[in-house]
Amino acid sequence: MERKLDITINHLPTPTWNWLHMNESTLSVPTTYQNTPIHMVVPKRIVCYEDSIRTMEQYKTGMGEDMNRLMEENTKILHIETEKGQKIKEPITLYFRGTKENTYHEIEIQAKEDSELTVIMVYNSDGKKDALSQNSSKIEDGKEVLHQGIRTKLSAKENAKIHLIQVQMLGNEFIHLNDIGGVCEERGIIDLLQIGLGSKEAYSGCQIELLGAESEVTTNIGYTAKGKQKFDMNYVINHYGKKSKSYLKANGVLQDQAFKLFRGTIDFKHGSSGSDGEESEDVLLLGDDIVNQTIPLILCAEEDVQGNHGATIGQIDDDVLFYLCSRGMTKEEAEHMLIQARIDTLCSKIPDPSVLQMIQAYREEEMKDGFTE
Amino acid sequence: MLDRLLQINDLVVNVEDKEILHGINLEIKKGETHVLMGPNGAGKSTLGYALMGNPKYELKGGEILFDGKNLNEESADKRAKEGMFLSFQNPLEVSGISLSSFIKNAVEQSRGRRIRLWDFQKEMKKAMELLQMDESYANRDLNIGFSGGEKKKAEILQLLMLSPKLAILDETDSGLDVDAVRTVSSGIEEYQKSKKGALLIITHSTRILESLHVDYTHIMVDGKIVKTGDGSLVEEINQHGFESFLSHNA
Repeated sequence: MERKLDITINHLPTPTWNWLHMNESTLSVPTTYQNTPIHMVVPKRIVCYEDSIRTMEQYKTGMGEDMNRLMEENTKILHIETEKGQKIKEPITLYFRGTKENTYHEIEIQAKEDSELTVIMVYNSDGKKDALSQNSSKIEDGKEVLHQGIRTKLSAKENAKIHLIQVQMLGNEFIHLNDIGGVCEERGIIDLLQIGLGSKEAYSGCQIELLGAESEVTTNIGYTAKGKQKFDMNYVINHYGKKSKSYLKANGVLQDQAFKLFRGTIDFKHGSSGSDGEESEDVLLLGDDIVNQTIPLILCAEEDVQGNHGATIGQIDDDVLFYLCSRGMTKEEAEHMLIQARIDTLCSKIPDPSVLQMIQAYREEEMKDGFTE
Repeated sequence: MLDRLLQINDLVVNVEDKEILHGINLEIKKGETHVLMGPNGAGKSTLGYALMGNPKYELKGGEILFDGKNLNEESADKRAKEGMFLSFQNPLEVSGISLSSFIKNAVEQSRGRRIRLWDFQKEMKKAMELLQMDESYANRDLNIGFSGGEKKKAEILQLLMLSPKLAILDETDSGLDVDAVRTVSSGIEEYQKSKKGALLIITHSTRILESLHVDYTHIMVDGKIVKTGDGSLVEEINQHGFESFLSHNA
């Protein structure tokens, strides 16, 4: 009998009414898993090694402490590091291929002083049918479910910049757990871009501490959820440093019976004077049975700060639809074009043509097959 | 008649249950240029939207015949595929779709086949040069951050690339400076001459018409066409305004 662990993740930093069921999420996950090899494309000059030592153990993550329980038996941590002043243009691309096992991985990325690097993490799997196997851990709704969990920790030292790009294209037999925790020191920058397209359920958490003065975090999230897909997100940005900046943007499309819960918190802690934070969400709703939940939080313990929040949630604007249709596109084609556009905008920022090809192939396949269950 | 392109018979159009057009009759032959003028609120743009099939504009009576087909029940995309084009007074902004990919998609829809990227880019570059548009606009999100003039140029760029049988230009000259009107006008002239396209130009002013040959001018007041004449009627309006037609209608 397989061991299971009940975990509670994606806690809202300041709880709201319990009856809203938005304060956190609970799920049951298997504790037996493989740490399968990661296929890596790494530029020669970069330091990249695997060992069992966690150098960022104290960093908090968006999913919360229960992820420690899940990862506690893991002994393989992948470290990616830059040297001081090293600026690497070529991206480091890591492919996490969903196999017929449950897999958990831990990554630590450290950009030392005055350095810069780009890491692309791609989560994909074999064809939907191929990935189903007798080793899968959970039966739900008559379908076998696999888990892929990845925890990434980031350290941007003084004047360093980390670009982290994560693309999730798993088949609909997967439950995906993607957790991030990061710290920016003085003028340190974390630039995060996430694209979520696949999986049955996708949980993502991210907590960034802007410790240093003039440190920055930019988070661009794009997702499309169809069928009965579920996206559960928790993003927390804590401003400690003076004149620190944060930008948190989530753009998504929900179709059919998709479910999405987005928690976005910008917390201006005592001492973060002169800081700016902006949070915005744009969700396109294309269906009558969608569940779309959003909980934006801007918390202030400092007076001299600026925090903005904006949200656009709704159907496609009739005038935009008519404009597109007046150029010969059917309503469906116009809708499809607008859905694709949200992801295309993010794709244009991915500096790896092979990853772009994979995304295009995935989306074409998805269009052919549909993603309904 | 074989050269009859658009025939509108007794067209009645409602917007939100209010009748705006009260029985419009109009006939446009292939390659002809018609000008529709009239004071604010006369219903000119309503006619443009109703012809293009905007669902907010409800046909309550009459018929729209285009190239021999009744389009009353057809959706906007079908009308576009038949060869009708509307240049919007206020072109919409769409993020995430570049002007170039939008036009390519539209051209492929209208021609019913894929076009080679190289051929498309060549054709588009030529049209952009004619309209004095910076090439960088091709890769920018559709109308996002475009000035009023660039938005109108982008509409005429679509007209040149799509080569429809009939182009309805809704106040294409509004909000443009003298130089921009001249540039846009040369684009329309190119469509008129090289593509042999028919035009229904909805306008308040006459600046855009200076370099264009006009076959017919129609004056619309309170949802009715009250006068039809040749190109010289434009000059009459230019000098005396709509005053005499307002009293005529009353």
